[in-house]
Amino acid sequence: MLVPIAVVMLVIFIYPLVETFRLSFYEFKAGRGIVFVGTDNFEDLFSDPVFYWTIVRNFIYMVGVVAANFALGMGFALLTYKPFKGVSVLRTIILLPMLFIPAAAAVIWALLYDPNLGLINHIIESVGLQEVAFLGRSSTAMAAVMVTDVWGWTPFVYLILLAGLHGLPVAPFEAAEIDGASSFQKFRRLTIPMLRPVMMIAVLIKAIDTFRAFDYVWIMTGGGPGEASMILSPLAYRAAFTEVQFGHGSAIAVVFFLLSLTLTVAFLYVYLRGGEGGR
Amino acid sequence: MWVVGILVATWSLLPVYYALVVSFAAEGTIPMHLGLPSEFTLFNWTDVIFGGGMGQLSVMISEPIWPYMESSLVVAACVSVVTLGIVLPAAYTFSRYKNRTSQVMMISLLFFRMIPVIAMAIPIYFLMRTLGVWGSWEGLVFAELIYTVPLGAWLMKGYFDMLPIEVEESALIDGASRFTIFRRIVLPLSKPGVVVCIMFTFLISYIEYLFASSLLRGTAATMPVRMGLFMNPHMILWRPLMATALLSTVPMIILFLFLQRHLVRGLTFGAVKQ
Repeated sequence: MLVPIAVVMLVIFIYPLVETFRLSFYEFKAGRGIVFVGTDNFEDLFSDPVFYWTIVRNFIYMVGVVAANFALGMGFALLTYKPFKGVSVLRTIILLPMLFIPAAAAVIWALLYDPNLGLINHIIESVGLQEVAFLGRSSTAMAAVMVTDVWGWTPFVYLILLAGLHGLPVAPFEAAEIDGASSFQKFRRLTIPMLRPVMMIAVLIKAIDTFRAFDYVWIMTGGGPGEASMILSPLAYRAAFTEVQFGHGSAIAVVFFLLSLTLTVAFLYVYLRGGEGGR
Repeated sequence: MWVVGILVATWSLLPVYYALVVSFAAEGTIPMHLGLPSEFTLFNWTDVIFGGGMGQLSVMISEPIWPYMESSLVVAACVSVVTLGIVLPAAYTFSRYKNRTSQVMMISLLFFRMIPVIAMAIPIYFLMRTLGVWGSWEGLVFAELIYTVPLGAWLMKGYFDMLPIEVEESALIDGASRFTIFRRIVLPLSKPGVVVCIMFTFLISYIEYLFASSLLRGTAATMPVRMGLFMNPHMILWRPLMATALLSTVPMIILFLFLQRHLVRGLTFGAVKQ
């Protein structure tokens, strides 16, 4: 019964991965087709400071988005996990961005940032400041895209943490109550340690997905202006599909693959160690 | 407390509210500040739904939305069915035969879930060209399996693990074959799991952009690709674009109404149970 899935894995995962490695030693040349170029593609990449900056930006993007996602998701979950009047309305409102697929969230935020029509610039102008083309300036473009990513995926982190908070046992909290613990003490000594496995899963999955982020950057800025908001997925995509340099794109994909492999192993290591109790 | 609640609601709602207002604003009337536009119109919505109105700017953008929505829905539905066909027998085997092969395959699937999709995208593109399905739905359906097969296999294995094994054992003793057991006992019992699996695979392929934009062209393109096409650096038609973005949420709303209770399990690869 494993034959179909084995065939599928071979065709959609193993074959393309091997082929990407092979292609990274070739290049598409106009008029000559696909030509073997040895390690040229990699030499080009590693002699290009722009490529190193793209890797750095990829990490900044991931750490920034995941940290903000986690902080907001945790804050929202703590705010709404106990019942109060209107809590279900607030929960629904927090989840609302989830209905917007990344492409939709990207275009809506692109509108908000727009210098002429955008709401954010209306507000900036109404307090008497100069309007800002958030997506068109290299100092703000990446942060602007990151905010959109945070907006779109915070509900995901929120949902997981909320489920985790609701799954915590009640008894330890009651015991702490009797012993006269303050709510901050309960949060520090009970909530955080007991919630740790769920927090780690949320951060892990979000980090892995954000590391390979593509949609928001590609739709909102295409990596620009210049390379100011370029990260690895769109860089490889642009090289292969826009600039028709399949070898160059494959070489980027290979480096990217190895990076994320290292990252995954590091994550799993932290995760498994954290799962063994720790503190 | 109330202040925090209002801030949170503003963060979530304001972009949606503004998109809604702009989608109803007449050409030339810009909704200033938080107020409503001076002139309301339904033309942005009717243009998007029935086509026309923007023809001089781009042929594709002036087309009605339905062909794109149809592509999205057909692709997502096909991905769900194909994924189920691959994943169900595999997940059942993973759950009932916990041997070395099962473990290696499960771990490999988790690993494939974690690597960047772009590392597979270039050869997949060439494969589709060679097979002659580039630019059509079939190729995209196949490519989307990269996302859905790992998730589906893990999700369904989790469900099969929860089923009581005693029923199957007594059926085995009575001489039923594994296939009969799977079809007559396991599948009916895991119907809720199958429904969740269908919805998640549907969701994933509905929102997917990278393969959709590299493998599809013309009216076969899906909703995310259509929205990307609006982002023309010279002139962005914000009003119809907002109507399109809001319309793209309709299938999501329906899906989430069904999924509510199962969202967390699916989003975390079955790791967090709700």
